[in-house]
Amino acid sequence: MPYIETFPTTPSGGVGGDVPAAQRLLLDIIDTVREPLLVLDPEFRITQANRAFFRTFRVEPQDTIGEVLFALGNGQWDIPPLRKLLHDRLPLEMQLYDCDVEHVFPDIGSKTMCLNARLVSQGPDLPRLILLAIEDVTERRFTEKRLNDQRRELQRSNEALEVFASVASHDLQEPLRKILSFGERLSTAAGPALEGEARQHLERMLGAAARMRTLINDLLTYSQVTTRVQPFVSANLAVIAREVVADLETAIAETGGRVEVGELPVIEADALQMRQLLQNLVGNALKYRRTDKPPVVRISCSSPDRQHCAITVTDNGIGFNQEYAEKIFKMFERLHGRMEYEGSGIGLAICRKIAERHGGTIAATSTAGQGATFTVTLPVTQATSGHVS
Amino acid sequence: MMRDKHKIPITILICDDDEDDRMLTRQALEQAHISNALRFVEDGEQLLDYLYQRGAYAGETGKAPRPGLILLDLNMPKMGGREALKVIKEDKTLRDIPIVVLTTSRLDEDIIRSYQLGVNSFISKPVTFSGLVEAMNVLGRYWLEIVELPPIAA
Repeated sequence: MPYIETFPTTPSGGVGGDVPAAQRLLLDIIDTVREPLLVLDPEFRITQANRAFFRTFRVEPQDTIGEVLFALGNGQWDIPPLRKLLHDRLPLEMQLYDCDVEHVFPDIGSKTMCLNARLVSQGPDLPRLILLAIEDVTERRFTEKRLNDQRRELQRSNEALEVFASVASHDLQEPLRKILSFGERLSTAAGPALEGEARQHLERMLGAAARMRTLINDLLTYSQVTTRVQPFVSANLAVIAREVVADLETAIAETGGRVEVGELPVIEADALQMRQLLQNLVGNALKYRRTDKPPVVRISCSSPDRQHCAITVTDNGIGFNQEYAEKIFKMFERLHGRMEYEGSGIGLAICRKIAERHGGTIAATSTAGQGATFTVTLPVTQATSGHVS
Repeated sequence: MMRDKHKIPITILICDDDEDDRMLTRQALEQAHISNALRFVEDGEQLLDYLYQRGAYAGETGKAPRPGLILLDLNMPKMGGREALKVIKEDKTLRDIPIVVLTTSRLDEDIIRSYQLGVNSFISKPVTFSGLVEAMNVLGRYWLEIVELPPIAA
């Protein structure tokens, strides 16, 4: 079988006259692919190059065919890493996959080339040819790098925010504790002696300080959803839900209501956070109850698909207008005045963060006055152990 | 030989850099009816100066009577509580003095580290004054009434 070098080539690098059909097909394939492709002889002389090569590297066929690759374009292709790949590695490995080579070409500037090469044997006594595919991945690598940089920057700024929230809430606790402690002292010592308005001022001040304590604690809890984590374990949601109900027993009794726990699955999750999540949702359901009837809260579960479970907490409380269904999960968002309902406006934000840490979602549906349903959709199994990287 | 533990009331040494906290601790101890002699130092260096009776505490023992109990804050300037704790618990002349950490920290690593260094108890400062009084009450009952402390050489 004649080898490729002896084929006459057309100026475009395509195949001319008397070539067997199979060879012709092969060479036409080479010429047609979008990726620059070279065929080299054992001395690295270019015996074949396709249109994509000429186009990408802006060279002419007559200056290319027959030239030694490294001498091409006055030595533009004399690239040490490329030499190393073809000289040293290819004879040993027979083929090379996806080796990136960066090079600044005098004419076309900086290029990142992704190389695939193969030593092709043509027969026992015939020299082996080198097939060299050179993909121009300059843009792709640039985009990849930019995306990577952005991702890292985002991660960094997220971490910085977490640290900020955590440090801020820690450091804020210190002076607040003093305000509360000295305020309490003042109230005990001087309270009875204070006249109506002055006494009220002191009480309002202490009330505000106590609310700030709730706020700071919740903020700290929020920041700890991703910073202070337990590994994902097999968490029995039924057991956790019953524990939550037991914890809220007094509150439930006070309202004269009840919490029903339906069948709940065992899933891979941070058990403490699952408890926190259910505690917040059931706590909310009890808090936003109607004045004219005792609260009935139901925790149940359905399976939208094999990989997920949807845990719902449904109540018969005051509900909310559906247009606020997204807003309520935002930090510090409140639908009610502080005088009506206590709270920091962080509880549902914590729930969302917990759901998201588990690769899940949380959503709410309601009609004002008609009760509300909160649905937490969580994966049944976790791909990672849940530790912070 | 049985000792009469009420014979020589111990001195309580409080090490806290925060003036407000020193005041609150003193008042909480008062409210808890703990009438032992109280001494205050403001950082780890002062604490060690006190215990070794050197620097500002050099001279006659009356200046710095050996404490029967130390209440120690962790985060302080110059020398923090962890470092001071380490020095005290490594010194065989001092390590029999019970030390209770009284700090705002609730961090697991602080708690674990303190016990590893040999602290006798770890208390997270209660947020309210009444909470602090309650803590001092319990602390007083435990360390000053129930527990037998090593005798202090006269």
